[in-house]
Amino acid sequence: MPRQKSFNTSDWFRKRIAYLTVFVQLIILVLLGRLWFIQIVSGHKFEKRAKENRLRLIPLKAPRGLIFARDKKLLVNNRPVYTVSIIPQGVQELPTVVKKLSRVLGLSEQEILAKIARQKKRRFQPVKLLPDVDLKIISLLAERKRDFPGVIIETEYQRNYLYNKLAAHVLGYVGEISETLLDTPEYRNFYQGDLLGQQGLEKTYDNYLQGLPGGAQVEVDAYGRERRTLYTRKPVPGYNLNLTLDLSLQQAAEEALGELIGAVIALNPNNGEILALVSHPAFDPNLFAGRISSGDWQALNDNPWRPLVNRAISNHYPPGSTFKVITATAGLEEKIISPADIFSCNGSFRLGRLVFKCWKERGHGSINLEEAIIHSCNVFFYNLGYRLGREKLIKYAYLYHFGERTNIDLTNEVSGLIPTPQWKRAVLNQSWYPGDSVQFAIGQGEVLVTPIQLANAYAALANGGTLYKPMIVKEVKTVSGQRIRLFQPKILGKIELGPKTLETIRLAMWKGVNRFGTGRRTYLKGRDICGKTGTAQVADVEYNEKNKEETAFKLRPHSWFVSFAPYKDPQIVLLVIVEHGGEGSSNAVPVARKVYEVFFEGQPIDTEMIESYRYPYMASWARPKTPAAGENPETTDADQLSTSDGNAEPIELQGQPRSGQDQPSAPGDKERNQP
Amino acid sequence: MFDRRLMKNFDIALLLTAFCVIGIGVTMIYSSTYRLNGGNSRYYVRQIYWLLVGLLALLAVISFDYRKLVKMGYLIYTVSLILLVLLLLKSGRGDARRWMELGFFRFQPSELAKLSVLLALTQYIYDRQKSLAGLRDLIIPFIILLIPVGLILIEPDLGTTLVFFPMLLIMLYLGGLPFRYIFFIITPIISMIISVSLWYWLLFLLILLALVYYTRTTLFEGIFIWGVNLATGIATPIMWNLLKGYQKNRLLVFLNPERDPLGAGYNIIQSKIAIGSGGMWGKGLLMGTQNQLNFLPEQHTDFIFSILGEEGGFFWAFILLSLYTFFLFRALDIAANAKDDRGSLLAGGIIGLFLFHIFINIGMTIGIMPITGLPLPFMSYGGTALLTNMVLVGILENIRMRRFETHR
Repeated sequence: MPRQKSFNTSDWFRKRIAYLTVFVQLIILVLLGRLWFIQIVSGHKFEKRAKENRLRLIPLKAPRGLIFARDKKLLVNNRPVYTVSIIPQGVQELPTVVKKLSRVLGLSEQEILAKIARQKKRRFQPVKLLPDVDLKIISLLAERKRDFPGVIIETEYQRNYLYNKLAAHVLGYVGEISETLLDTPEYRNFYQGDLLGQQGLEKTYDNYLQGLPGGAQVEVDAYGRERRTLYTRKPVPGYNLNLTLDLSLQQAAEEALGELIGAVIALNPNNGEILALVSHPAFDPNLFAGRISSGDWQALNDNPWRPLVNRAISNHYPPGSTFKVITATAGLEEKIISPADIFSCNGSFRLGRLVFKCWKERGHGSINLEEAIIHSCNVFFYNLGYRLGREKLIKYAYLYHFGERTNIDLTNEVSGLIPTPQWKRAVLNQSWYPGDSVQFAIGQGEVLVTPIQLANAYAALANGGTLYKPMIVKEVKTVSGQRIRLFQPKILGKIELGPKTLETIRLAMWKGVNRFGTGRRTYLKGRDICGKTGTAQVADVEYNEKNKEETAFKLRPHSWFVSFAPYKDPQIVLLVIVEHGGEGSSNAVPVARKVYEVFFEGQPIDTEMIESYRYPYMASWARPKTPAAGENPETTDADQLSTSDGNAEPIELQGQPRSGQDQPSAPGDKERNQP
Repeated sequence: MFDRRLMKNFDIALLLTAFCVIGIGVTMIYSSTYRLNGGNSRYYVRQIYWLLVGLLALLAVISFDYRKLVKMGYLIYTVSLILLVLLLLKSGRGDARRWMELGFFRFQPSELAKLSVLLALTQYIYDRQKSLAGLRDLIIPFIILLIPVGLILIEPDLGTTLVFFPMLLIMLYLGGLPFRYIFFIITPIISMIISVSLWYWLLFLLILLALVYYTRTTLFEGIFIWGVNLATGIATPIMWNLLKGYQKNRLLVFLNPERDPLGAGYNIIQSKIAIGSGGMWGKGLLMGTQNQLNFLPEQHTDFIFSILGEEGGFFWAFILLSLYTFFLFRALDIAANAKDDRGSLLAGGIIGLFLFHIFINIGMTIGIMPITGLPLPFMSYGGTALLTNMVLVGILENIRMRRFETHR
C-alpha cells in the first residue's frame, strides 16, 4: 500500500538526520574524551597498577646457620618441609585434578574441596592442602606437573634438632616472630612467619644464625602463578656455630642423669669451655620448629618440673657442703687457720643459745681441715666461719664471682645470692648475726648459687685461681668455612691462692674421692678425681637415712657433687646436682662416675699414683721429699729447697694455741668433746 | 547474479570499514587467546570462518529487495517470538536458555528478535497513513517491542533487551515523532535515576508538569506521562529491593568499583588498568601484561576493547573509533538517501543498534557504563553476533544499492 507522500525527502527529515549525525559524533567524542583521560592524563597511574598486578616480591628466606658440636659433629640443621597447595582459579578440569590429588595425597576429595571452598573469599591465593608432605610424593608431583595444573609445592625450611632433647637448654629453640616485635623498628626487615631464636644459643646468636634473606621479583598471572622470574637476590645462609660441647660427653651426661631432676655441667677448667651442659627434665626443641601445638605448649608449661627452665644457669640452690672448700680457701688465705689446726667436733656447734648441728650426730672428734673436707664436717666450718667473720666470707664469695652472672651465652641466667648485711636489712629487715656467718660458711642460710657459678669456682680451684667466663661457642663460620669470629677464653677474674692453699684443698678433695671421703663412689682407678659432695638443706627438716622415705620429695635436700680431674693437670670440672636427691654421696656421685667413665674412655690410665697416696695425711710441702723413679734430679733439688723453706714456719705459727685465742668458747667445746 | 546497476551502487566503503574493524578484532582475538590451550588456540580462525558465513549471509540479504524483507516483517516477527517461547521451555537459567541448538550449530534467537523487531517496526511505521503525532501512535510500536523484550527478560538476559530501546527511539525520531515525545519516553528513566533523592525527584515532577503544560500536550497525555513518572519514582525503591544480589552489586559497583575489587568490581578495575596502562602507543601486540597474564576477564568477548587499549594504546583506540564513526556516517548517509521511508527507517534502526552497542561496550571497559555483557560490533569473538552484524550491513547495502530504483 503506497504512501501518498514520502517523508524522507522532507526538510524536517534532513534536519533530523543532521541532528542524528551530531549526536553520533557527540557519543564518539565522549568515549574519546574518556579514553584520553584514562590513557594519556592518568596513564602513568594505571601503568603503576598494572605493574603491581603482575609483579610480586617473593621473600626468599635464608636458611639458618647450622650448629656443630666439637669435632664437627652436627647438632642442628634445617629440614625442608614441603607443603602442597593449589590455586584453583583458572584450572579448567578442577574435579579431575582434585580426584588425582586425593589419590596421591591420601586426602578425601570432599576434604580438598572443602578446603578450597573455605578460601573462596580470598581469591587467587594458594589453598594449603597438606603440610609436611613426604619427599616421594613431592617428586611424583614435580615429575607429572602437567597432570596437576594449579598445584604448587611450597618449600619451607624447618629447624631440625638431630638429637631431639639433647642439649635442648643449650641450643634453645626458634619460634615465629611475634606481632609486637614486628612493629618495632629493629625488626622492620622481618616478615610475619619469620623465625627468631627464642631461647638458648638460638636466641643469643640469632644475629649470626639468621642470615640475610633474599628475594625474587617474579611476574605472576591473575591466578598468582609464577610466569617468570625477573630478578633474584640470593639469600645468604646464616653463619654456622661451632660449639665447645662434646657430643659424646653430653650424651653420657644425659644418660647418667637419667630420670633424675637436676643438672650436669662439664667444663674445661683451663679455658672455661663447656663440654657438657645438661638440665633435666628437658624438652624437644623440634616441637617449636613448626608451629607448636597448643597441647604441647600446655604440657610443657604445666609440667611441675618446668622442663623449659635451664637448671644449670636459671635455677639457684643452696650450695651446702660444696661451699666448704670455698670457705676453706678463705680461711687458709686469710691465715685464720693452718692445715694443721685441729678443731673438735662433738656433733654440734653452740653459739650463745643457738646450736648448729653437724650431720654426724656423734661428731667427728678432733679433726683438721683436710679431714673436715674429706668427711664434710660442719662443726669445723662453723668454727672457721665464725672466725672468718662476715666480711671475709662475703669477700671470698665475691672473689669466686658468686652472686653475679657468669654471662654465659645462654638465656635467663640468674645471679644467685650472696647475703650481705645490707641485703638482709633491705629484704628481711633483720640485722646480721654471727649465726649468719656460721651458716654462710657451710653454704646454707641465705646463700644461693647457680650450678654454673659453682662449677666455675671449682674450675678456679683446679686451674690455680683463674675464673673464666664459661664459653660455649668456639667459633662462628660462614657456610664456605670462612671464620667470622673466634672466641678466646675470657677471664672474669683471678683469685690469689697460694700453692699451699691449693694443694691442701685439692688433696683433701682427692682423698674425699680416692680414699675415705664422701665422694668415694666415684673412685676410678688411676683417674685421680678430686671432688666434694654436698647435701643442701632446702627446708629446716631433719633428713637422714632413717626418715628418707617419709620426707616429702620437695623437702628433701638437693644433692651435689662437684669435682675435677685429674689431680695433677685438671682437664675437666664436673658438677652434678640432683634436685631433692637426698645425700650427695648417694645420688649425685654415681652420675658423675658414669660421666667420668666416658670422659676417660680410651685414655691411658695414669699408673703413677700421686705422691700423697703414699703419705695420705700429709701435703707435699709437709712431707719429706723423696724423688720418685724417673724424676728429673735437677728439679728435685730446687723443690726440696723451696719446700723445706716453707715447711717449718707455717706449722709452728698456725698452731693450736692461736685458734684457742681467737675463739674463747672453743676450749670449752674441746674439753667437752674430747674423748 | 546481480543487476549491474545494483552493483554499481554497492557501498564498498561501508563494507571495507566493517572489514577493517573485523581485521582489528581478529587480531585482538588472536592476541587475547594466544596463551590458551598452550598456544594452540584457534579462536581467531573460528572468527574468520564465521566472517565467511556472515559474508554469505550478506550476499543472501542483498540479493532480494529490502522492501520484500519489510513486507515479511510481521511474519519474521512471529517466527522469532515462537523461537523465544520455545527457548523458555528449556530448563535452566541464563546461558542455557539463550542458545538454541540446531544440531551442527547454535544461535541466539534474541539476535533474530532484534532483526525481526527492526523489520516489524519499519513495517508498522511505514504502513501507517498518518505521521506519528502523539502517545497513542506509540502503543503498537511499544507492544511490538515489549513482547520479545519480556520473553528475553525471562531467560534472563537484561543486557540484550536494552538494545531494543535506542533502536526504537531513533526509528521514531526519524519517523517524524515530535521531539518532545522522544523526551517524554525517556522521562521514566530519568525519574528512576533521580528517585534516589526524594526532593530532586519531586522537583523533576514539577518541571515535567510545566513542560507538559507549555508544550500543549493533550490533557490525557499529560496525565499519562506524569502518572507514569510518578509510578516509576515510587516503584524504583520497591523494585530495588526485589533485585537479585548480583544485579544490585553490579549497579553499585558501577558507581564505585573499588567497593569490591576482587569480586564484582574486578572486571572494571582490571579493564581500566589495562586500557590506562596502554598509554599513547600501547604495549605492542601480545605484550599487554593485563591481557597475557589473564588479569582481564572475558578478554576475547566483552572486554576485547581493553586489549586494543592496552596493546594498541590511545592511537589504535582512536583509529577504531574513527572507523566506527565513518561506518555510522555512511549508514546515516544511506538513511538520508534511501529510496523510500522504509529504507530510512531500517537504516536508522540499524544505526541505533550499532551506536548503542559501541557506546555501552566501550563505555563499560572505561568505567562510564555498567557491565551489561553487550559485545562490541565486529570486534568481540562470537559467531552469532558477527553473523547478525553482517546481516545488518547487508541490509544497509541493500538499501544503498536500491536507492535509484524507480518503482517496484
